[in-house]
Amino acid sequence: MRALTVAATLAGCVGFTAFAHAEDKVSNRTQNAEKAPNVEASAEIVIAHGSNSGKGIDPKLSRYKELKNPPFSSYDTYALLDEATRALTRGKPASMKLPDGGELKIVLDGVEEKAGKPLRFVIKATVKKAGGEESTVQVKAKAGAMFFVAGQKFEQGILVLGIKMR
Amino acid sequence: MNSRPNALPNPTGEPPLDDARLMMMLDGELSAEEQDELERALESMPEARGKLTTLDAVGAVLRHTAESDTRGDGIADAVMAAIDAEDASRGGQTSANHVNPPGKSAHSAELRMAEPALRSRTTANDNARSIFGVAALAAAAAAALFVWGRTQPTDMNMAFGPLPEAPLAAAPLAAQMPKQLAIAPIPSGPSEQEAANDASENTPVEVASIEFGTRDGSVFYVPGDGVNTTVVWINDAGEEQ
Repeated sequence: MRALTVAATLAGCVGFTAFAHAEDKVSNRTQNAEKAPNVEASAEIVIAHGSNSGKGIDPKLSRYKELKNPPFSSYDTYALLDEATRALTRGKPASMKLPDGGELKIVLDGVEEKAGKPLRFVIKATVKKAGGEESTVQVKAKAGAMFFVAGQKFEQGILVLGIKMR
Repeated sequence: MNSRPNALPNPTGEPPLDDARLMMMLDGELSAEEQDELERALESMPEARGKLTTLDAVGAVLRHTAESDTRGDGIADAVMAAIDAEDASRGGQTSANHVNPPGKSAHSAELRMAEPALRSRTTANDNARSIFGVAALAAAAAAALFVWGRTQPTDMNMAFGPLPEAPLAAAPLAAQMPKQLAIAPIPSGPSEQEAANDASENTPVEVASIEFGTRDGSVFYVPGDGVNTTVVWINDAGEEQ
């Protein structure tokens, strides 16, 4: 019975050590990635206009199925206004003019890597209205995953900004 | 110093507004005076109003989900059928214990009145439905608190504000919300860590912090092709550009 207890304890210790070691490795990779200078990434940006003008969803936006679901389904019409790609260097903001005279600013704060490949990008996206009002969101985005910042009023509707990190 | 968790200072000098008090308001558990008093306090507390809206919305989602889940509806009928079968096997003692399904016999109401055991069975069935309702509400409350806590890091101005304006707000919540929110499970131990990881897999973009500035807004997780798309919705009350 004692031998069984000792064996179980040892197994637990080994398991915990292995888990902690794995955690450390991930953590170190993240820190190393964040410390590395000139970490490059790119942001694919889509700008659309949502309104209730009864024209449906622009075929160029048809791949974004989300537009048919709430909260986007509050508007029946979505038109593609602009598409662009911005190269990102860690800590240096990349910006893009918005149709309402405002600005979208994206900053790459860090990159989490796994097996030498980017796993998640830590970015900050700031949407600034022409009047100066700002909203900033910081996200951890997996490579290739799109997220949206939407709701800013524009021409009887709203602006929809889609951002995908690569 | 306020020691209540999730409590917001009440400018009227009354007790602070915590989640429990807001939920009691939503559940209609406050007296008329308390309700009026709280509504007055909320007029000057936009953050609390946003929180109230969120609690209400999440409750609507879960109530809708619970109501539309019919998986348990046949259980009571199956149990009663089994009891009927047992009665029949005892030699047709239907006069004392046989139960006619409500509405299928003109005598069923009289039988229920005359037979205590029969009343008991009927009540048990009703209680089961009530318990489902209470459980759904409890789940709504828990989920609301979880969502609130999960999306309100210390540097966030306002994780949850009112739902998007006019078009969405005007639509029935029950019709709009089910596709709108994805609530991840709460990992309570190592055995549930994998479930949490799976949830993270389904939400490839995690919101770390939000500053809506002078505006407010909401975070939505919109179901897409196997994953939930993160949507940060700015509630822009300003003039259109």
